[in-house]
Amino acid sequence: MTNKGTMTNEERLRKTIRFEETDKILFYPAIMQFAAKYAGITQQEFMEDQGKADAAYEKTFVELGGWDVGRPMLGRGPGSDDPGMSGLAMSCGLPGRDFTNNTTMQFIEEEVMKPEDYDYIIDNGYFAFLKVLSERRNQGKPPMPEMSEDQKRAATEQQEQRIKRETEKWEKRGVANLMGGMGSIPPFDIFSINRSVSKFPMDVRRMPDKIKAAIETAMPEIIEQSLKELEASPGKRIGTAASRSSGTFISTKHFEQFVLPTWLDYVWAMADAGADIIFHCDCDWTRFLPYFKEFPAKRCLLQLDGATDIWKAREILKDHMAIQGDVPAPLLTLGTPDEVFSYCKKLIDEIGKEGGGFMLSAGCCTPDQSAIENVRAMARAGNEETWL
Amino acid sequence: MADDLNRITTLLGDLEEDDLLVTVEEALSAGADPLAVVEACRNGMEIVGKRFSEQEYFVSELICSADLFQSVMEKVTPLLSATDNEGPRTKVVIGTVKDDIHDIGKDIVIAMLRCSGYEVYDLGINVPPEEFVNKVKETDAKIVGMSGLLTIAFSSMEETIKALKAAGLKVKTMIGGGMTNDMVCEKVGADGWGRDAMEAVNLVKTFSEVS
Repeated sequence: MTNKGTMTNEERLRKTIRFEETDKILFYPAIMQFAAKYAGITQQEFMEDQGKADAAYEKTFVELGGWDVGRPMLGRGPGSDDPGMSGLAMSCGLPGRDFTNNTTMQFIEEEVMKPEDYDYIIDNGYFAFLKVLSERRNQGKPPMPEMSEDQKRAATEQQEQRIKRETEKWEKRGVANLMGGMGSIPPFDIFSINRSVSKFPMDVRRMPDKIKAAIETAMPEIIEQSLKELEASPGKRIGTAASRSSGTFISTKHFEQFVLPTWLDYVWAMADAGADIIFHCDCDWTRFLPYFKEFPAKRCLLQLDGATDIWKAREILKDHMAIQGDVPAPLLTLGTPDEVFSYCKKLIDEIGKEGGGFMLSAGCCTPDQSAIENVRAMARAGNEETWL
Repeated sequence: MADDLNRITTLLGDLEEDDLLVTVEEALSAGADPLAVVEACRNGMEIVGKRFSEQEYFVSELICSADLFQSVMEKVTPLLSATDNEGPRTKVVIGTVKDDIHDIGKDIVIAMLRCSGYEVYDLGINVPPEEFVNKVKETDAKIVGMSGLLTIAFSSMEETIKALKAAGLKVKTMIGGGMTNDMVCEKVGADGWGRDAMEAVNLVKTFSEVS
């Protein structure tokens, strides 16, 4: 990517979210595991060897002609396999252990949360419950090696230094860092994932008041946690990711009852603290798009994965919320380079150039199975067709 | 009695768990034919399917309806005698294909197919092509469903369909999962694809009518 303009990508990103004039539609391919395929290493190597993963990401960046916005490869820090503050307690299927060495990592849906846990949350708090969940998940597993306080401090410092180094490296190259930390997931989604998609819908019918109370207990704690995270966030942006509360899964009534009120609390609290908010919304949100107008105007970016009608999103949200997306995974995997380029061009012309507030991206992320020529076509569109 | 059966249909359609289970108990105690209760529940599932297609119900409601149907079946099954035979049922072999371990979509489809009276053989997750082939040979099923959430599933679906053909098995194949669409269906060589569980049920219905 050659920066032909006078703005930095950080300036462009801030202006894109605010629907202010820029000289380029930004390109963010969300390259993750695809870098392994591109560089010719296995998914297992990509996960287990940080040096090889960094080199693969670097090679992909250089040879695709770069990108404007990214997220630094931060690696696996101390305790990263633990539900911790994220609340996600599901296990992972890993390449080389659970699959062939070139199959991507996958989450395993399992019932790690019980119906009585809603009471525990209401009585003891959400993060207190996450500690219980962590212990429960690790039951029967070999104990983690005990770390002394010095060792813990050294591991944390090492990880912090890596984050700083990676962030600086990409800043020097002019790549804007989309988000610093991990952000949050609405409690409704956390409960659905941890109870499992087969059990949670009946909970919602059997004990709606309890679930609502647990959500209302959890959200202030999540807000407090995210505000702390924001203090260390480069660019003052924070993410919120949801899929189980999408229109694919739930009714409008349940969205209004269990999701929207506390999600509004979260997003407005972040905006009031000066942050822009990145919504990572997988699955189909088309039916709920009108509600997104209740979030702060010109302070949010909505990432769509191809399941939501992105043209409808623009029509409904107009200049209220910026949109990112959404080259679909099947197109990147099975389509032709011409088809991919045409789709990107259509997004750039009809959404980006018409209304502004748009960033070209793969839907969710560039899948590891994408055809290399197709990703090159997306990058060509993202780097050459996006100047204004 | 007919009132009870109609009420069972309505209560299942409305997903009213407590009243449904009480009404089923009462109907069975009063001597209702267990098969008639099953049929009433299937009629209730048709209401659920209609509401799903009209976007009144969503995936969560489908899951609840399958759960309720299963609860009723737990009450009814012990009362069914060997002679309470519904006749031969269409067999479907289904699994999440090799290298993919996602089972949410597959499990919902299986639940809805079973509620609709189909005989389903669930092969689980990460299923290699030869397991599909072996199960079709063993059961003589004429319909194979393949599920997968990730793009890695596309090549596994294609391999499975080729393996079924190479084994000389005359089956109709269908695929489903978050990433499937017309393009994927065509590229992997499947006979059809379903956007959701109700489309999968309709596909099986269509396939079984022509086979």
